[in-house]
Amino acid sequence: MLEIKNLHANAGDEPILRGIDLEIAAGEVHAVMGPNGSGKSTLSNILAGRPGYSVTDGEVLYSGQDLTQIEPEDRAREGIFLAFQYPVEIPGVSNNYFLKASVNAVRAHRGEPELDAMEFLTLSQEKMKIVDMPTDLMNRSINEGFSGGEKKRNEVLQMLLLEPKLSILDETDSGLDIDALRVVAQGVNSLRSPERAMLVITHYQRLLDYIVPDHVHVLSGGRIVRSGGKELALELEEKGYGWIEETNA
Amino acid sequence: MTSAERRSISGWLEASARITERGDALPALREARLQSVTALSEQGLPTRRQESWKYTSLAEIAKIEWSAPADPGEDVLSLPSTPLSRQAGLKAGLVDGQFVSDAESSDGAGARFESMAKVRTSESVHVNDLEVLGQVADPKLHFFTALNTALVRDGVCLEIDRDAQITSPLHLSITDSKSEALSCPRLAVRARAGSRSTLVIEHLTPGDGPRLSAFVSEVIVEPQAELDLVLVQRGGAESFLASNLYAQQEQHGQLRVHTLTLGGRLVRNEVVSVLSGQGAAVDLRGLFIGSDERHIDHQTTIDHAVSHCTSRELYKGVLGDSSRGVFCGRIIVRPDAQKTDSQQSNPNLLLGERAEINTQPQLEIYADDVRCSHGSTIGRLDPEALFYLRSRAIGPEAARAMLTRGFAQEIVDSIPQHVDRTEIETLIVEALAAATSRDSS
Ligand SMILES: Nc1ncnc2c1ncn2[C@@H]1O[C@H](COP(=O)(O)OP(=O)(O)OP(=O)(O)O)[C@@H](O)[C@H]1O
Ligand SMILES: [Mg+2]
Repeated sequence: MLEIKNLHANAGDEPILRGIDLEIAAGEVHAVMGPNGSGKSTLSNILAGRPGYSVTDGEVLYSGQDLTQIEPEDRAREGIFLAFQYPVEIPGVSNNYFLKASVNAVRAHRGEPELDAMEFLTLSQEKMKIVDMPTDLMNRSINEGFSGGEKKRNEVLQMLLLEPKLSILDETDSGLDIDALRVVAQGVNSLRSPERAMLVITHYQRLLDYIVPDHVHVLSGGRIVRSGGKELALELEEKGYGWIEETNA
Repeated sequence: MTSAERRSISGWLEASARITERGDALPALREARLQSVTALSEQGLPTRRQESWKYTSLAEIAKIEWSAPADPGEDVLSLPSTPLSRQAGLKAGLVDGQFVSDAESSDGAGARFESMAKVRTSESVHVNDLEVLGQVADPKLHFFTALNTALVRDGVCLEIDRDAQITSPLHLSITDSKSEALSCPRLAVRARAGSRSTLVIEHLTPGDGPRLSAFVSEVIVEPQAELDLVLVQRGGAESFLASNLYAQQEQHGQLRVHTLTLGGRLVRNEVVSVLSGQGAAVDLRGLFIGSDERHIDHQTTIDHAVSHCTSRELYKGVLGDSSRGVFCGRIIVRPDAQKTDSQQSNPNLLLGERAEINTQPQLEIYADDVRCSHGSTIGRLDPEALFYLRSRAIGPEAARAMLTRGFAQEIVDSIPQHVDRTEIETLIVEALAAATSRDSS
């Protein structure tokens, strides 16, 4: 589904990613861990098409297509979803209005009929139950004044509504209390299927108790310095990143 | 003064003289008309050398030979149907200066519209009894007020009864349909003590061709009364619209003005609000949307004359293409006006590469125990927000429209619930679409 080959990329003018190779097949869940500033969000921003980030070498293929040539909205329509590390607040635009427009944009692209207000209400209520989100958040402006946890739930809600093929979760667990973590993980797991893939960025092994990954990668200094199975996360938790740097040295 | 300007002014002065010679239908304005004639002949058209006209030129107005307002006709006209009139209660209109009322609703519960020029009848309150017309506005201060006062033939007076709680919005439509004609709509409102009401005013210029409209409103909000004024300005691409609103608020009187400027070649709005009774509050809210080369100028003066009054101002500008906005917010806090609480803000969204806004607060504070704040911002659409929407499959144009509308939403949200918000939103979306259509940012 996703093939990243020798990816070098800049954030602004700053070279951040220095040769990443990563292959994600349908049905797989990959976890990415790594110290602050190692380039995890840069990688997810590159995949989502955020302005200000540029590929300087290597390639990113999504279902065989060069992803970097596709506009952000078309990536989303084709099934790429980024749950933002820092979701954006948008005053004056109701969450409900936004999510309905978003769902209908994806549906239109898939050749499905648009949902009317009632149909969308039914759908959104069903998904909100999964992430245990209070209904009044739908009538408020997008993320405006949402607590950290509410923002993250809103990201997962969007993911559930859009049913992406490739979900990238950038620290969706940070800022969540233990119950919320479980709820959010349930939401993510409910999407797991042989057709879908996930890239889960986290600092905490705890999340991976709930969302059990097939592969774990450690990103450091813009490179993947170690890959392994789910036990790698446990090992990291115990020994810290210093351990990898030592063993690589 | 150019010769064209001189010709315009002298034409207007002659027309005014004819009104007074032939027995003025508005005796309440007798004194004010004389003052207006003097002001017009001495001052002529404002020039950009005057501080309050620094950013707004009336030179284009002088290029057209405007016909002066005619005698109100004898024909019984019907009320025009406008987007916001359908859900309204009591209705009236000024069609090319002629008073029109809706026979079915002309004397609804708690309020009435009357023609200013109508001969006094025994049962109805006449404008003179309202003591509003010519009492609140000062023609010496503002050009368009002088112009209106010199030439107005008829207008609307509205009285809202003591303690009346009017739930359906009152509605006034102003239609200036004649090309190259000057129109001088006039409104006098007295909201009696303890009353609560909403008046929606729609100012329209149907058809093609240039219009010049000098609209003047005088409003008295009596003790404990609450009045919401919603002014929707939708002039055509060649129309020059001025709206000068003078309000006086007595003890605990509350006035909220919602000005939506959605069209017009050049719009100049003055608001003068005098807080003359303790505990009075004024809230001025404006949304102005510019496209093409349109020019929108807001000048507000809030005069805190006594203590314990509150004023709020929020004007939001959305400027596309090469449109221009001006906002000048003057706050006066008189020496006796201790415990004044005043806030002013003017955020602007510039969408067009060549769009411009000139914004300036003007604080004159002569009391010491006061809270006054002001701020203005000029920005473009937030790229982070734009990306967020795009990352959710929303195309760039739809995303920009969504953000722009979000910017405007705050003004819509404060319009009273019983006004047809869906219609208002439709009108705003149309105006925003024009302002964003050529935008490439
Ligand atoms: N626009 C930019 N211009 C220059 N440097 C940038 C820009 N954006 C990010 N960076 C830098 O790139 C590096 C990687 O940032 P990134 O956000 O990818 O890290 P991260 O691995 O997600 O960290 P964290 O765990 O703290 O979220 C950091 O040093 C950051 O300061
Ligand atoms: Mg990050």
